[in-house]
Amino acid sequence: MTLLELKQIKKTYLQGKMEVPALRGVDLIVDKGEFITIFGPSGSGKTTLLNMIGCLDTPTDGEIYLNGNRISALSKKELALIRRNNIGFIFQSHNLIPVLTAYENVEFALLLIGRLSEGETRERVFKMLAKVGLKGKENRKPGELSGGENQRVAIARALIKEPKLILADEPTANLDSENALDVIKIMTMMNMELGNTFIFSTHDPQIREYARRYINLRDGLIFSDKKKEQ
Amino acid sequence: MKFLWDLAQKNLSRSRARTIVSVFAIAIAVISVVFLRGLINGVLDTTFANHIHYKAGHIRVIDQEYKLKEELIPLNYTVNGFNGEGFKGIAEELKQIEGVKQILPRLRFAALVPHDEKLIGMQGWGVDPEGEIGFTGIDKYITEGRMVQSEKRELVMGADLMEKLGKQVGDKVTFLYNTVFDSFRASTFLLVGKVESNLDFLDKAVFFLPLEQAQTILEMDGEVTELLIITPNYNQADKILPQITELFKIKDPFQKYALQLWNRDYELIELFNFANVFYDFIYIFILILSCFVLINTLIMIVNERKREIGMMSALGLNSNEILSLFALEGVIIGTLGSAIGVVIGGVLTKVFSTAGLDFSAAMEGVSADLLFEPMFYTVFSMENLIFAFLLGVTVVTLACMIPAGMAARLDPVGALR
Ligand SMILES: Nc1ncnc2c1ncn2[C@@H]1O[C@H](COP(=O)(O)OP(=O)(O)OP(=O)(O)O)[C@@H](O)[C@H]1O
Ligand SMILES: [Mg+2]
Repeated sequence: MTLLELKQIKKTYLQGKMEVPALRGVDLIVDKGEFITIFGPSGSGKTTLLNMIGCLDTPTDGEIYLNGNRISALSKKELALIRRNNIGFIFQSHNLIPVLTAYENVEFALLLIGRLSEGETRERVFKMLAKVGLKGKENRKPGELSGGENQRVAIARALIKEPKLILADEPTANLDSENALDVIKIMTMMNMELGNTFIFSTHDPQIREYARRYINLRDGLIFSDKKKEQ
Repeated sequence: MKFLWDLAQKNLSRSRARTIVSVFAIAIAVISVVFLRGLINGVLDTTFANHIHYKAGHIRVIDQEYKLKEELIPLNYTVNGFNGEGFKGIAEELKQIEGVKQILPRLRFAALVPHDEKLIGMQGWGVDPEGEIGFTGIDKYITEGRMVQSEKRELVMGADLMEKLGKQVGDKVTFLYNTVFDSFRASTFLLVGKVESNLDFLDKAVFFLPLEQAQTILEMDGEVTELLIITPNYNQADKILPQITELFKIKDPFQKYALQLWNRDYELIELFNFANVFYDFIYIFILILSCFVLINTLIMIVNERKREIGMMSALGLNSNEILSLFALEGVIIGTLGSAIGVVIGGVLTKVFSTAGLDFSAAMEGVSADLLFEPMFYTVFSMENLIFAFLLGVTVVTLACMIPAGMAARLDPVGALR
């Protein structure tokens, strides 16, 4: 089933008077439950593409459909609502709110949606933190956790609202290889277990190997799009 | 919204020193407002009270001509009844009106006392002693001797005037004056009391004598220069003015008399009312100044948390929520500062409402003919505290919109980069 469809997405940034094309016509169809990596040289448009998909930015041209809804023409407020309800983000760094504990950071995403009771919220957050291996560290603040642990909190927060789509822009770039592997393994596990769709970008070939679909971007265009042979 | 509130509170602890500095900047401004306003209210209260007690009453009845020449305290333009039957006629009619508590007659005239080969100028006030005690509480200022008694040939005099004349309580005082028929006379009265009021004007230039005596020596039976109408509450004196005006329309068709409301028909009071508007701007200005500290702090905070704002935006917070988050942070600082300011300001106004501030050095030579007192007392009032608190919170809230708006307008993609 199709979750996401991009039609001829173009994005041009204005740098002074110079037009910088970041995406030059990207077509892409993503099905539910996919585990996709986007890779390519620096400046090829990975972050730009993820931002478009994540409703953080709007394309200069082209159309995006999420769950069959056209999102490329929505207002900022509507886009914020879509992000809140349907999309989980994991960034390279600065993922967490430093004054909140691991528990509160994860809870924050649920409070934003505000649908669950206090008890349900509590149970769900504890369960999720245990799943990413942070049992017993729920009350630590980001400053009292390692980089790898912080990324796990970020994963837990992205997943807690059970979004259809999780976007991760170089989620392991700031981690040592051991922690990086841990994080990608947790992401794989969650994808298997919960069936959310993951799209992540990375420069790390070892991390890339965990994906089941590989999209290679070059100069703002999809250069190749391959699926892992089963 | 609750989670935004919680988060805003937690964010305050991130840079405690900055938060505290901002809180105190606001607090100091609010203290200044509370104190300044308490002081101004105090000055106004005593000035209004003096104006009412020694000049205007709540409503004053005078002759139209007297109104124009009051400076000269002439004796030819008096209040002597609607048909020349004497002031008591008017007083009786006025007393019938509901809301009139007291009618106070005064007969003011110019007098001279020879001393050291010079003539010292002063004012004699022919008064109803009981009425004066009831209204102005003049007896409280009589530090030696007593108030004059009706009908007796007695007078009480301002302390400074007594000193100038070298007189003591118990002495006889001879003063010179013109009667209403312009004949120059001298009378001798017994000095029975000394007035020490803190009011320069009273202490330096006035003596009181019984009204009947004044009328007799001036040959002005039944006449007074003014009638003061006293109501239960000076702030509501205007409520009964229409009834009185109505009475005068009927009884005084040729408009011999003028009616003056204490806060409407005097330049001094108008000046004060105008100044009050001006003071309100000063209060706002003081608060705006202190808000610069807060705005500066919040702008620094917004800049430091750019990536965090981007991240929260990715989490799905819309720009209104981001605005609220930062505005709340500022409003908490502003509310705390205002609360601290109100408490400290309240204590200060309370202390100085009894201790008073002595401005006599600064007022040297200024106040001789104004109804000013050199001791200023602040007024402690809940109204003042609530005013300062609300003004503080309002100005701070508005000021916070500047940095909060900056945060809300941040482009999430740019903020995350
Ligand atoms: N705000 C901007 N203003 C101008 N140009 C921009 C802006 N954002 C991105 N670009 C340009 O768009 C192109 C794509 O950038 P993008 O960040 O998407 O690349 P990337 O593949 O994520 O690179 P990296 O691997 O270094 O993160 C680059 O040439 C970049 O310089
Ligand atoms: Mg990038």
